Amino acid sequence: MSARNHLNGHLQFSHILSPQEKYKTLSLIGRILTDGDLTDLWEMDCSRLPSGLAKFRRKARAFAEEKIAPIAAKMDILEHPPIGEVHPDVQNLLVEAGKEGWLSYFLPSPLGSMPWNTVTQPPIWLSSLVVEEFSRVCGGLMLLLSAHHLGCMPLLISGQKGMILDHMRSVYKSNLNGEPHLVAFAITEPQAGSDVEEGHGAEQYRPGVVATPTKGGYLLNGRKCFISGGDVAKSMTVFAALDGEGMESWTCFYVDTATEGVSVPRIECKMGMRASGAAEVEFNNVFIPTDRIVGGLRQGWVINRATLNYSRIPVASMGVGMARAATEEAIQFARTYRLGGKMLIDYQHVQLQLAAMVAETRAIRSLIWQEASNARKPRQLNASLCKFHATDRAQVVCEMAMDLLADHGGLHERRVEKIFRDIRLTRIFEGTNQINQLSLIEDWQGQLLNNDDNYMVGV
Amino acid sequence: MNINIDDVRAFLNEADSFVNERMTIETERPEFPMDEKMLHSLSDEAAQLGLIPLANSDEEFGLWQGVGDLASMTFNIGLLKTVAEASAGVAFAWHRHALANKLLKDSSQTFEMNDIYDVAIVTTGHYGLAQSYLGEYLKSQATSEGISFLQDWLDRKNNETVITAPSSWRFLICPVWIKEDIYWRVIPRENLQVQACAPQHGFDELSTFKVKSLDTIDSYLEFDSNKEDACKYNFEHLLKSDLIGLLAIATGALKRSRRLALEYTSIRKQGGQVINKHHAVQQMLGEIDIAVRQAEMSLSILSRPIDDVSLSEILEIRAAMHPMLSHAANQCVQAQGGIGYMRDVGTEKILRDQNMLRMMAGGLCEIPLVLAGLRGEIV
Repeated sequence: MSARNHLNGHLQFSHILSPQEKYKTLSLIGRILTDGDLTDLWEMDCSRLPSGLAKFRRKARAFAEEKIAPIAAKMDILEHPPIGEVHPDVQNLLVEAGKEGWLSYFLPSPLGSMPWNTVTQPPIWLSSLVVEEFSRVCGGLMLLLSAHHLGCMPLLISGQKGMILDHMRSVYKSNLNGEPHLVAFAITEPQAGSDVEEGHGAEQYRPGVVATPTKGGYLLNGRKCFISGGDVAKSMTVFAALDGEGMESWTCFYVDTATEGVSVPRIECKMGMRASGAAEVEFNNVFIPTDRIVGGLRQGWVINRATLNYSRIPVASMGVGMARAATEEAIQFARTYRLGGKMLIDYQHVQLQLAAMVAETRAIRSLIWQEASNARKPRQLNASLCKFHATDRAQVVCEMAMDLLADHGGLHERRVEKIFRDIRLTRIFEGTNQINQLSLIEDWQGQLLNNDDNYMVGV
Repeated sequence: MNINIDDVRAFLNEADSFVNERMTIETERPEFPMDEKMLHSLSDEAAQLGLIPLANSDEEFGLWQGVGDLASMTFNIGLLKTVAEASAGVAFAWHRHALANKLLKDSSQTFEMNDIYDVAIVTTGHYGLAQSYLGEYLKSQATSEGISFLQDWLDRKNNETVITAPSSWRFLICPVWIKEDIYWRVIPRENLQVQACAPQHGFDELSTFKVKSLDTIDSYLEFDSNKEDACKYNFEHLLKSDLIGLLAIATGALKRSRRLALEYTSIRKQGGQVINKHHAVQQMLGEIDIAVRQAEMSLSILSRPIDDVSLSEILEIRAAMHPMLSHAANQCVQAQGGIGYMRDVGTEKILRDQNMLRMMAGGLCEIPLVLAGLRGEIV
């Protein structure tokens, strides 16, 4: 592309009427008040982060571009390998990701790979930055690498020494040594999607996976479905009701998938995020020793909800990464595609579209960073709000990109069509966006039901 | 084609029977899209029944063979809706085949076509809708700048044109710019640089290609027409038919998606009751109903002799309806939750097909600009 100094309809920065470079000519105070940063937006945002997070963000982007992006299109098109098998390219990615610490960053060394210069920040922020970068290059491979953290989260939230120092450390160590060990999170059941994500539904639901006491532990029976990474996970945090009791008895079990009785009868054929399997997992008299109960008996429901509070802001970040990718693809198309003797980007209506897209993308990133930076103890209301709003708006951005590419938007090589298929799942999993909207209201009840005449609900 | 309005119902019933008896079984596993052999076979059967035109026939009946009266337009729109309820991809293939067939039939040249899908057609330029310049040209108000733009828009040699069609096509029909007017050209495949693309976003039954013409021969289809501005008329006429067809397909496809969503939400239980009792789901289902109703009303408005319908009217409806239909198709997926995202259910495929219909024929972005051109000079 030849160097140009301005787009059609705009003045070049050196023009007498262009302000961008004239702020430097003002007085010292004038310069202090006006002479802002004109650098690349991604770089600008990096510069606004605490230094440890900025470094981590750069590292995540580099890994995404060097290791994930090159295999993304292929893994999207290929049929999913048979249950239990991993494509060699994906296996290599898992090994690399493990060694580089992308599967162990919720704990600092020596337990995990969280950089010590980020430990003062909420780990959700760290995770959100990584998830955005990975999502930007491939939703499916991002999910493969990220659902693992969801699976590990109950172990961490349990606060139990054994869960963290034995099981979680063991998982992290294995990954850091280049021996991939993914952990899956198993809550959804064939008869319960939303019912395992909100209390009102759970109150009515008769649990499908049941734990029956036996000598030295429990026997698990039943089926879970739509378990991300469940086909390749070496262990799972599985939520089950105690025999004869309802959802209030939900208990989290840490299950080794090699245990006799665990099987994966089916992997779903998904619209997008196709590099990650959504598995049905069957438990047939699976013996779980008592020391594999995560957080104590009947603590499963609260651990589940806490885990979702941790995961929903990173899920919102998937929206940012994908909206950003769609915007980048649209920009690239507009900068290179010629129509009527001009680049598309020289047309005003294209500029309007791109401006709206970048504004939407940055608006949801700002929302997420604002919430993530305060999510040391993530609140349900804030997490759900980020999740449904960011993913809904991300799809709008992707649709704008498709509209901009018009006849070329359906081409796989243009990536936007894949991004759409990937984004679509973010509005469904981790609670549909409707469930997340209601989840916000549920958590807001303390204020919404306040009858004090002098109280105005804060927004 | 002369068809009595009273006969339309009978023809559409016949189409409905064909879809139910022959197509439904081939489309009930959406994760395994119909292969081209089956597409050809079904299309041949439909042609034998007179639903779509045969490859080489002087019959004046079938899809898009008549556009000059209410009955014909009702048939065209009704057929595409019916077929799209089974498969939007098949409906699209039939739609474009019928348009190409009609164009060839109306021209004074003879082409030997062996197969229904010998011809692929695109109805617009290499990108978008040529902004206000297209409108100005159709209003006979083209400026020199506009002429230069249109020349590039329809330049098939220096720009890649994206086509989605059954892969067996041997000829491409496309509008080209010759002698400061838009003509239709038939380009043999061997005169094109053809690049087969990876599977496209939707229309899993079809394939996508990027093509460039290897020559700039100024040959074009000639029509026995005494109309003033015949080139403009022919182009606008076909573009209008194409856009109406795309809306009809989108409407039919959404009706299928709506049915799937209604069925699922009437049996799936969450929170102790079937989910269609929940307001959150009722809201989505209501939005789907509204979109279907709006689309049907729009198609009713467009069910007139094509010369009585303006391009502006069609574009305005397209710009309003396709985003609404896409949104409704999204709500169909959303109402089904995780199941809706899976390929074996079919709802996600319809969403992808809706996206394809929205992006084709120049997409939506430039419609407001075309309308500006069609409004003419503002004094």
